[in-house]
Amino acid sequence: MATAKLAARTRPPRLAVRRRPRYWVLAWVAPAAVVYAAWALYPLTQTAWLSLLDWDGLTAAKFVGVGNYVAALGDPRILRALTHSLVFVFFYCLLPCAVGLAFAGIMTRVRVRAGVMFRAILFIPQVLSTVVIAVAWRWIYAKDGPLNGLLDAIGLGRAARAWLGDFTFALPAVGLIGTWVMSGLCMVLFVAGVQKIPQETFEAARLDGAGPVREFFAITLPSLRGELSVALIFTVTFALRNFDIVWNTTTGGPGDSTKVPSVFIYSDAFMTHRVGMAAAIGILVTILILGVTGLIIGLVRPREPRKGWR
Amino acid sequence: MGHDHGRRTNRRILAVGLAGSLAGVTLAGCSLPGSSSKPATTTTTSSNSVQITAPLTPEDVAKDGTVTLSVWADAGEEKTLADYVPRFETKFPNVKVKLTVKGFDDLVKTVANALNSETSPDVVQGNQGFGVDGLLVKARLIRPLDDLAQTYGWDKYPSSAIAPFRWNAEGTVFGQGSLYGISPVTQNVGVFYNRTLLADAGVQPPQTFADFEAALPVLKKKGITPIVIGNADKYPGVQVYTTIAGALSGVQPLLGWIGGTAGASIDTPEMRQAATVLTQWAKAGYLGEGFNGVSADDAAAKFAGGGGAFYIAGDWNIPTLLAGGQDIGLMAPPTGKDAKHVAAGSLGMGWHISARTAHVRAAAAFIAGLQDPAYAPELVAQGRVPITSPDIASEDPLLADDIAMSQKLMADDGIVGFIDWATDTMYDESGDRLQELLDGRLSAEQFIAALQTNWERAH
Repeated sequence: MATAKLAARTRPPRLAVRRRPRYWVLAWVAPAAVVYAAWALYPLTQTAWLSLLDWDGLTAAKFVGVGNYVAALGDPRILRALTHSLVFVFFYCLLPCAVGLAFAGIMTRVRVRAGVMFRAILFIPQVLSTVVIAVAWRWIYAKDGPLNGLLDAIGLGRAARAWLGDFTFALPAVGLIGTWVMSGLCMVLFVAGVQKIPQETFEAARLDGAGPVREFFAITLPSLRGELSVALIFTVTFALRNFDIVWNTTTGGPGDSTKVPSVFIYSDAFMTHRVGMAAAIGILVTILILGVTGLIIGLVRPREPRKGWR
Repeated sequence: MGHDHGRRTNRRILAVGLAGSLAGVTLAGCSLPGSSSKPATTTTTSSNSVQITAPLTPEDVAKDGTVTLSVWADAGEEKTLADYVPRFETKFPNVKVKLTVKGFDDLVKTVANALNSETSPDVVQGNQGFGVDGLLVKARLIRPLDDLAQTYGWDKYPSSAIAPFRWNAEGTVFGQGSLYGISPVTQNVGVFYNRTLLADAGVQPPQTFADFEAALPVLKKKGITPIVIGNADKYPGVQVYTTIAGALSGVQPLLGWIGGTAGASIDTPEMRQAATVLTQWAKAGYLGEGFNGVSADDAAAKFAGGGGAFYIAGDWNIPTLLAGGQDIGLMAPPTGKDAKHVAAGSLGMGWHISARTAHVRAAAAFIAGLQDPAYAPELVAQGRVPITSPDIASEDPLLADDIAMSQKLMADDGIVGFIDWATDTMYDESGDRLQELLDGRLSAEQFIAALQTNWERAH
């Protein structure tokens, strides 16, 4: 009996079928795999190799082992840049996800008319080039820009300043641009997810006397685990590798106040010709992103494999 | 179960990926990059060892048969070259110029790799300092021009003007050594002023630095922004600092320090005083408000529109400033120490000849034609300030001011280069620290110490 049980458990017929090798599958995978290997894996390994060198991009390179990594991790400017990245994780990732979730929660209670148009508008920042976004926000934040105009109009003219040139406010100001860009994506993802939850589930909860808050935490949030993990991975990656918005708004200034690791990658690679150092910082950022992404997958992954009504 | 299965698959994929990565590393690891590229001397063709000992005639250049001369230039040269290239091709009918024009950022980032490629251009523009020219010299990608300098008399140009093109063979110190580049024009930082606003405040264009400082509170009292500056891009403030430092301290220590002369130091009372003066201006409101958040372009537009009395900036801003229709003049920085004019400035981006070119004669003739005093009036017509003809003039008043400024600076040998040339990281270091200085986050002493520390790390 015990053996029968064990056999039944370890060799269900479904799995047996699945495990039969089907080599023709490789043909389906090959095109993507080749592209991925050529454009992602090869450059990555190349970068990993370069990170072990002291090389100006032209003259003979010198092998320095982990020297670049030691130098990068010992550089207080780069460590400070990492703390700026963490601030950006809040603005580019946590805040947009919170905004998106709140919006999705409201959507379960209130039917928004012209929802498609609304979503399209919210999604626009995702479609725009980040350079366009940066130029637009530079204007918004300028000394005589609309934000200060608004502050003036509501009697807060004394708070007006050149936001991107201010040591205290430049970092959150750049962060809020990211919030604006990413909130649309999060909302669209979550709203789509919410629409897949059967209406009966909510009705049942309401019959049981659940209020909007209870309903959100008991039904909406757990049902959105999949979407949430996608949104978190997208936004956290965007936050940690953030370069274009920073570069096109403040170039890392004023002083070092908005510098992120990718600013150092750029200047080392293209301005000061420290190819090895740029590669090392790039690899460190990659490891950081992979680590954080892994953590998110581990924490937010749906508990059950998707099947049945989902 | 489904989960375990998925995980195992993931793990397997990960392992395959890692193995692939390792294989890639080993493959890529076969050789150190850069070491395989042959030193320039072995790729030198016979024609590359050509020495130019007499001015090139069309007959000399014709000896090379039909030549396609590949030229890489900065976008700022586009108008000039549109005029020059047809003249050059008419004079040297066997040469056809293939021109590649790139924006400044693009050019300085790609020119080294282009020169290092199999399809290296023959003539390129670099950029003074360690970031580009130093690298080109170090990697032996460009050819010394000493023979040309002697033949065409470029070595008679004011020594401070061509110093940034002189390099030691290792590309680690500039200011002396072989000449690797040349340019027929100057680009200097001067003091633009709005004649109408100065007249309103009853202020004469100041001739000395003391007069200049005295004018600032007078203008402020009249409700006029004394100095327009937009320092979001970091370099404008550094150029203003250089202007003050030049007045208080003269060409030294800036000139030697920028060129990397052994033991040079800007940790002097005058250099610290210059930083103090700048912070005092900021505190007194002479620089307007929020300047660390204003872009260089916006500041130029603001001054062009009558938004302030003085604008300390490069003469390359003239086209922008003319657009505003204000009555604007330009003067050399007011005199300070030893009654001399000192300015941040240099010749234009240098013209270089590739060490790999097979067309030395055509390349040399191309550059020599630009340097020809006979071509200077055409340069003026393009709005540029040539150094190749001493008594050149322009009917355009602002360009005439610019030419007069250049001549004063040449006469005083007062052109120091640009602070960001001093080390390859000095652009950011000086710009970042100056923003902090202006914000009151660094003292003058800390500002100078930070720059000096950066310099000592690099030299």
